[in-house]
Order: sequence, then structure tokens, then C-alpha cells
Amino acid sequence: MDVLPYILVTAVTVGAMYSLATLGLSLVWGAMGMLNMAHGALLTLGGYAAYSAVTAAGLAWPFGFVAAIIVGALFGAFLYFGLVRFMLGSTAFETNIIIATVGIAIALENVILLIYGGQPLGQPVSLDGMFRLGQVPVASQNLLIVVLSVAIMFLVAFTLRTSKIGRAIRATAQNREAARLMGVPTRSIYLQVLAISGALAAVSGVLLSSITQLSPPLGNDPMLKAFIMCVVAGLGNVQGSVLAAFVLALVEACTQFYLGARWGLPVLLILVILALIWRPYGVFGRTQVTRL
Amino acid sequence: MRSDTRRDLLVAFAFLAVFIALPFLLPGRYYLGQIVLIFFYAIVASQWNLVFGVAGIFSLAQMALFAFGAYTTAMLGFYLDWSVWLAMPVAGLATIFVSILVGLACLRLTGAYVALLTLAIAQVMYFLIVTDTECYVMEGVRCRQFTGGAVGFSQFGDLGTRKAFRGDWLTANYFIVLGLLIVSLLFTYVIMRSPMGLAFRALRDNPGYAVSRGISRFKYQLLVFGLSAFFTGVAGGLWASHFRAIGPNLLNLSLMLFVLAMIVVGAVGRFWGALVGAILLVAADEVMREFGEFRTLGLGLILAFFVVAMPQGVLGLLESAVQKLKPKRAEQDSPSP
Amino acid sequence: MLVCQSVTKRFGALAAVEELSFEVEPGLVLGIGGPNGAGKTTLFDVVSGLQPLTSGKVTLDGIDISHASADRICHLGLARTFQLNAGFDSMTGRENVQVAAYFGHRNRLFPGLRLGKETQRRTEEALDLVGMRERAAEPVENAPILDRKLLMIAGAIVTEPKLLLMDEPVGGLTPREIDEVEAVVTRVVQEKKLTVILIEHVMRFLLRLSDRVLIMHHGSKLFEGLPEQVSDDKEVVEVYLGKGSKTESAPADEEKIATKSVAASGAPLLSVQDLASGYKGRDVLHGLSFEVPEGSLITLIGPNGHGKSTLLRTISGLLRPRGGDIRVGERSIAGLPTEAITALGIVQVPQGDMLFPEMTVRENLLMGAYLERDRSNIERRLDEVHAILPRLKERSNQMASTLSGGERRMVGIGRGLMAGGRLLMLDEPSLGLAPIIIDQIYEVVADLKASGRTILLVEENPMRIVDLAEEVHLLDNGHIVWSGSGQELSESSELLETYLGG
Repeated sequence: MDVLPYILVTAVTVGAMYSLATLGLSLVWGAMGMLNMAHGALLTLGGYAAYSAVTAAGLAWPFGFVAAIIVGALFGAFLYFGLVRFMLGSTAFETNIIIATVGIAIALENVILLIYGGQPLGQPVSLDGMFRLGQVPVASQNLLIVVLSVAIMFLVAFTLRTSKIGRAIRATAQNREAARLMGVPTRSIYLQVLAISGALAAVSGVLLSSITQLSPPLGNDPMLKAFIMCVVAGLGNVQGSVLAAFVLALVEACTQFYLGARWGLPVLLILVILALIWRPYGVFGRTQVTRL
Repeated sequence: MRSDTRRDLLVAFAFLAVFIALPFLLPGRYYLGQIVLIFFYAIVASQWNLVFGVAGIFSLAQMALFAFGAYTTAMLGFYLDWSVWLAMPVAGLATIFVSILVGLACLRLTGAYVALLTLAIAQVMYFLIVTDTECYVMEGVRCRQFTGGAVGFSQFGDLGTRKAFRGDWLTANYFIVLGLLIVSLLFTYVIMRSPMGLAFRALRDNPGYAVSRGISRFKYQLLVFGLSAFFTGVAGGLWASHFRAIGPNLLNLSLMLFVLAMIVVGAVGRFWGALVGAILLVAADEVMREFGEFRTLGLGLILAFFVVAMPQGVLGLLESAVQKLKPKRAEQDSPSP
Repeated sequence: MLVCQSVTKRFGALAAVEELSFEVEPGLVLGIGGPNGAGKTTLFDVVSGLQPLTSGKVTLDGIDISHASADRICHLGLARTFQLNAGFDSMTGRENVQVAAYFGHRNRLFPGLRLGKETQRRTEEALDLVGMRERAAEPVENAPILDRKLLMIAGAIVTEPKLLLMDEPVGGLTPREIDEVEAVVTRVVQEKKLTVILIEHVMRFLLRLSDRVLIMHHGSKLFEGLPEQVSDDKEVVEVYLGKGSKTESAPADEEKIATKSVAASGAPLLSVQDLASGYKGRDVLHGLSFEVPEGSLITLIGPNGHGKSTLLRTISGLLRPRGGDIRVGERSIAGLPTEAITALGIVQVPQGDMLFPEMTVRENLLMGAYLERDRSNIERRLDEVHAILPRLKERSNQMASTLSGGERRMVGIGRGLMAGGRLLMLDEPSLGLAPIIIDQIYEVVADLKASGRTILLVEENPMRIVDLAEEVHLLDNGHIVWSGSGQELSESSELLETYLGG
């Protein structure tokens, strides 16, 4: 049996999911130099929000995504109002925000555990059925994941590139002070970026839980991988991290297939360690200019 | 004698007096055991504080080093039948080696990148241990993985206090751990007050200025990683010997955050920060035990709250409060050269 | 002692230092002058090992240090001070010097546990030499600029260097403080028999201290010779010193430096009253008052570090004023957020362009019109800007980071114009540009003025603005010390002499 098509299908599906998870993380880092350690918990939150919308509120499954987006965006906004607003511009923002978001992440994961319990739940927001791609059977859900992820990524890229808000976000990321002089309300840009990133995380949480299961630590592993993609690409480099997501998903799928499942993550981590030693600011990253 | 040296001595004697008296005052073993935990955490936190607080390198690998020390001790005892008393210092030395490797990997990185890289290293270790299923030796019908797998190790020897002191073994262990705490705090104190401490702070405050005053970033970054590792590794070994069992849960993210929170709550970069933070957090954890399920939730919120509201930590707050009360003291306080 | 051969340092396409060669004789003071952005500090960074050099060779006493690390260069006997007031903020002044004394003098293979008597003695000696011994117990974090500069000098000499590089030791200081630093530097150089390379903006200071002078421009050598020859060199005068320096110098007459006011030609668009502002608890501006009438071009000139940029940043709301008032028309804008001030039509073109490097020229321009909602207005303004700055139209889809210095400046100005504001504030539009490009920029400024725009211009170099400005204010240490027309300014050479260090 030729395994290559299976590896490719896995790699593309997983890569699409990773890149979606990475996108929000990268956006937040790029715009405001903030490493959001609560990103994984946001993923989980999105998965459970969709679950509740469908099972408790009895909505049709596509509305699971809507619920996830709303909840994710709200939580992103909460991060701004609860933490970032007070810490912006303080010394050691870069490290302190990591610690603070870690705290929020633990708290959120625990809240989810308290509400839903620790036992794994099935994600109702998914498609049933299979289809054949040539010789290879593919679950419809995989197709949904790929289509949705790619669509969202294009939407985000398109917005960043052409719209006014996208320009404002990029301007704020590239030179905060100059952006303010142009009249950009940078603080509200930060709020928007966090909300967008929260929504993106939530959607990827829904997709992720649809092929695994819902559990409180759901987001931790993908967050770690999203970090890897970001770091390999250079923190804040959105296009680079999407590319890195697909490449690394392929590497992971191959490793798991040929070396065994347990080597997937370690090989990725070792790759990222080597990449960082080779190019400290990421493969696509430029050397940072220290802001004085 | 410098006035702050005098103050530190006073504080040290106060702590020491309390810690020596405690075993004879506390009812029951439970609280004694919790204070032993405080000691362990304070040791790791004090060494971590050297890297994170004093040298300003945001490494998240400290708990992995602690676990490395614990695993080395356990494995030396388990596979080679070494006494833990021999295995612990060897584990400390091995931890220095590993820590310097981590330092090398971080050499060209700053800020968040260091955090991510060290987190990645810690996670690799965790995953490799947890997913280890290959049989290394058979114990009767049970299969034992080389790294102990998800179960970990037990029955690799202990400190020998149970045999020697019988019912009082916990008190004996208490004093052994206290001894290690004193030695490692003393070590930290000497480092922080020595020219090396100045060099670490100089590199933290202004790396460019520091190197052009002759401080090699390469050398002193590796040095701080190396120095902070020995007692971390030994403490790991002592942890293993004290509990007579270890497992991959030592590498759990939440444990790492618990210890990190101690540094933040105590005071980043201050000598007493680690100990004060360890006491406060274990106490807070104890109080939150009352609330059962909300314990972790509370921990997370405390962590976030402290970073947002008092990034200087409890000690920083205390100091500024004291300075407000005695505005004139600073003027009299000119240190003699 | 120090020999630089064809030293070149590039940042991407930009050559900060290009094919620069010079030598420093032992025991002499070499002064390096030149406009902002000429590559002086980069040269120091390269020589002292903080930045790798792109090509060329640097030797110190015959030892090749081209690729040596900064700490090794320090141990070889080359110490430097920094333009930005570097310091170890969490330490006391004494500790700042101790760390240099301990680690800077020689390589410590195994650092000891105590500083040792010798280190302590050298530290106290160095502190004494710069007169900081009494103030050395305070944390550096809150120390005034003068103290930080002196500590930096103490930290450098305590490493017992052969060669001392000083980067603007008096930048941002008051005339009285400059004299104090000068006395310290002279004392240090004589007592320690040091060889010195000195970067300085304040010409008076540079010429008094130097045995030889090198003037840099665009990363290359513009002039090298004796200090007396500098003001005779036509090129140097053109690029750097301005017209004022050529005239015979007379001692400053205190009475002539009285504040005059020129009758305002219209209702003031912007009025600044008694403004105080600064950073981190330190005031840079102390009670500044002036007006900008509608349709006029008002200029503030003054040396670096005397509050010009601080003033513009305070007006545009990036800094909060500590006292006084800023009014647009009748409305007070003091304390408003930047976006609200921009929305009122007060538009700042910041120093050093601050473009969005990863955006195209067109996107940069569009960002300028961020607050404009009407698309047709934006299109119209884009056409206007393209008419004034035709080069920008050609470069429309090019990334801002790939532009030349002059083009970047034009994008900066164009971006400011896109806001369609009522007042354009230009912060040193000539900064770091070649004379011919500066001419082009000022042609643009003249065009803008001719088309009736109101402009507030801040410059260090008065040369090109005197004909344009309705009113010139001279800024010294956060005060306006003289006001008058451009014509009057060019006639009062002693003013230039005193305040601009000509």
C-alpha cells in the first residue's frame, strides 16, 4: 500500500488547522509584541462554545462556528480590558504579559473543567461521511477543515492587505508612534487585534475538536505547535507562519508515520530549537531593531 | 558592615529561628510535609531567580532541570544501585552540564524567544518520557521503560532516615531539606553580592553597554545557567529521595507556573523573593484547598493579578511602603566604600 | 594608535559608513563632527565591536580588532562612552563604575567573589576624577543627564584604556554643564595621558578640545585637518556649519539676546503658552510661548537635545504637557490623545521619517489620510501630493524600506500632507541628507508655503530657512531666548555663535 497519499491528506488537514491556530498568535505578536499564552485556552473555549450552542441551545451545527467566534472575540476583548490595557508601555511588557496570560490560561482551563467536567466530549459541529479522492478515502470533515481554514486565511490576508483596518493594523505593528501621528487610535487597534485573534483561535478550536475530542486541555498541544510555527517563521510574520504550518505538518505526519507517533512533537521541537540557533529571529524573520 | 547586609542577616536569623522551632511546634505530619514543600520550591525558585531575576533571561527550563536532577538520581539508584547520597551530587553536576547546553541554545535569543525555546526543551523532555513505551527491563510481568514512562520510578533508595529515625523520619528529612535550602540561599547570596552578580545585572540592564565594559555575554550567560543549575539538580535529587518516587508530573506546566508565580509574587530579582514567594503561594494554595475545585483557578488569577497590579512583588511593595514611612533614612544611608 | 582602513558598514542597501580611513596618533585628541546621520555613532559601534563591520580593517596598536568582540576590545584598551546616556539603571553610580573597574581592565578567567581593594581604589579614584564621589550612592535610574554622562566617563577611564572614544559627551547639556564636562574631560585626558576620539555636535566644544578634526558626511570623510582650518573649508561650511560661522566672531552680547516679538499677521492658528514638558520626571521645556499665525511659516532652531522634538511631540499629543497650554484657535488641546489632535488638523511629520517600512509608498500615503472618510477627498489629495512630489508617483508601488533617504523624506512629507491638516509640523526635514537633496526638500517647503499652507518648522541648522520664515525662534535649553525674522537672524552672527556653536 502506498502511504504517501495518506500522509499528504493528513499533512494538509493538520497544516490547515495549525496555520489557523498560528494566525491569531502571529497577528497579536506582530501588532503588539505580545506572546499570548492564553491562546491555547482560547482554542478550547471556542470548541466548548460551539458544543454548547449546538447541544444546549439546540442550534443547527453551522451556528456552532458563530457562537465560537462571538465567545472567542469577547474573550480576546477581555484580555485587552483585563490585562493589556494596564500593562502597555510598562517595562518588561514582553515577559510580564507572558506570565499574566499564562495565569489567565490556567484560570480559563479550570473554569472549563468546572463547567463541563474532565471527561472527553464529542464535537457535534462536524460533517459526517466520506468521499474518495482518487484512491484515497477522505472524511468530509477533513475537507471542511481545509476549505474553511484556507477561506479564513485568505479573508484575513485580504483584509490585512487591502482594507483600511488592515492597513492600520500593519501600520501600528511597523511603527506605533507614526501610526498614532496619522490619527490611528492604536489602543483600539490592539483591542481589535485581540478580538480577531480570539475569534480565529475559537474557530480553529472547533475544527480541532471535530477530529479529536473536546477536553479542557484541548488547546495546549496545538498552542505549543502554533508557537513552533511562529518561532520558525519569525514571531509576527503572518505569511511565513502559514507556510511553516504546512511544512511542519508534513514533517510531523512523515515522522509519525515512519518513526512512530511519539516522535512527532519531539522532532518538531528539535527542529525549532535548531532553527532558532541557526536564525535567532526565525527563518523568514529579520533582525529586530531594538526600540529605545 | 553595610546596612543591607545587617538587615539580611537579621532576616536570615529570624527565618532560621522559626524554621528550627517549627517541627517542635506544629501538630501532626501534614503541615511539616507542606513546609518541606516550601523549602523545595524556595530552592528551585531562588536558583531560577538568578537566571530570570538577576540576569534577566526569561528561561522556562528550570523545572526541567529540577526534573532532570530528580530523574538522574532515581535512575542511578534504580539501575546502578547507587546510594542517593552519592547520586544527588552527581545529578547536580550533570544538571550543570545540561543547563549550560540550554544556555548555549539561548545565547543569541532574547525575551519571548528565550521563553519559547526553553519551554520547547522542557516539553520535549516531557513528551519523550510520557510516550516512552519501549521495554528496557522486565520486572516480573511488568515492563519497565528506560525513562520510567508515564509511571516514573520508585524504590530506588531513600535518605536512610526511615531506618535511622523511625517515627521521626519526617523531621530528619525536614532538617536535611532545610540544610540544602540554607546552603543554596547562601550560595545565591554570595553570587548576587559578588562581581558576578554585578556582571549579570549589567548584562540585564544594558547588554550593549555591559559588553563594551568588558563583560562577555557568552561567558556570563553560560555562567549563570551553570551556576543556577547545581542546586536545582541536587534539589531534584533530594525531592526524589524524600518522596521515594518520581514521575513525569514534575514536568507539568502547572507546577512550573506555580514556582514561577513564587518568584513573581515574592519579587523578581530580589534575594528574599524566592523564599517569601514560596511561603505565600504554598499558604495561599493551602487556603484555596478549602475551596476545592477552585484552587487552580485561584492560582491563575493570582498570577495574572500580581503581574498586572504589583510587578514589583510583595517585597517591592513592602520596600516602597517602608521608604514612604521613613523618608529621611535614605540620606543617612551612605554606604562605606 | 588606532588605524582604520576603508572601514565600511552597511545596513541592507544603506551605507552608514563608507570606505572611511583615518589614523589616530598617540596622545592626541581627534574630534569627529558632522551632521546627524553622518555615520559617526555607527563608526564608534564598529570600532568598539558592537556592530560587525561589513568590510575594511581596524587595528589598535598593531592588533587587528576588525572582528574582535566588544569585551575583548575593551580589554585591549579601548573604552567608549555612549550618545544615549547608557547606564546600568538598577545599580548605584558606584556599582556602575565598579563593574567596569572589575571586568573592563582585564579579562577575568574566573571572576572572584569580592571586588578586592584594588578595584575599590580605582573606582573611587575614577569617581573623584569626574567629581561624582559624593553622588555615587544614588541609583542611576533617576540620575540627571549630567551625572549619567560623568558616570559613563568614569566607567570608561576606570578600565584604564589607551584610547577613549567619547560619543557626544555634552549632547543635551546646558552651557554651564558643558563647561563642567569640558573641565572633566581635559583633566582626564591630561592626567591619564589618553588618546581620545571625540564625536561632538557642539562645534565650540569640539574645536576647543581637538588637536585634529575630522568631519564626516554620509559615512565618508568630508574634511580632515587642524581645528583652525575647519571654518575655512568651503565644503564643510556648506554642509555643516551654515552661513553664520563664516563671519568674524564677536563675544556674545547679552543685551542683544532679548526676546522680541514680531507682529502676528493673522489670527493665530496655534498658540503655545508657557508650555512645560519632558520625560520621566525631567522637564525639557520650561515655559515656552509662541504663536503660529494662519498661513505663516514659523521656525524654531536650536541645537540637538534642547527640546525641539519634545516640543512637537507635546503639541501632537505623544507627550503630555506638564504645564501651560496649547490652543488650536480657541480650543485647548493640551492632554488630548494624539488621534484627536490629528483630527483637528495638527499634523506632525516626525523626525527621521518614521515611515511604515513594509508598506508601499502609496499605502504610506494612504495612511496619512487615515482619518479622512471621503474617498474622493483622498483621491484628490493623492493627486495634489503627486503634483507637488512627482517622484512619489513613480515610486507608488515600491516598498518604503527600499527608498533612498531623500525619497523617504518626501514620502514623510507627502504622508503629512495627505492628512489635509491645517498645520504641518516638520521636524528637521534636512536631517542626514546631502546638501543637494536638502535643497530639493526646501524647494518643496517653499512651494508649500507659497501655496498658503501653515507650517511649523524645527531645524538644527539655520542655513536654509532664514529666507523662508516669517519668524524664527531660537531655542536654548528649553527656553526661547531670541525671536526675530530670518533676516535679523542671519545678521546676528553672535547669536549663531553662542547658541548654535558655530
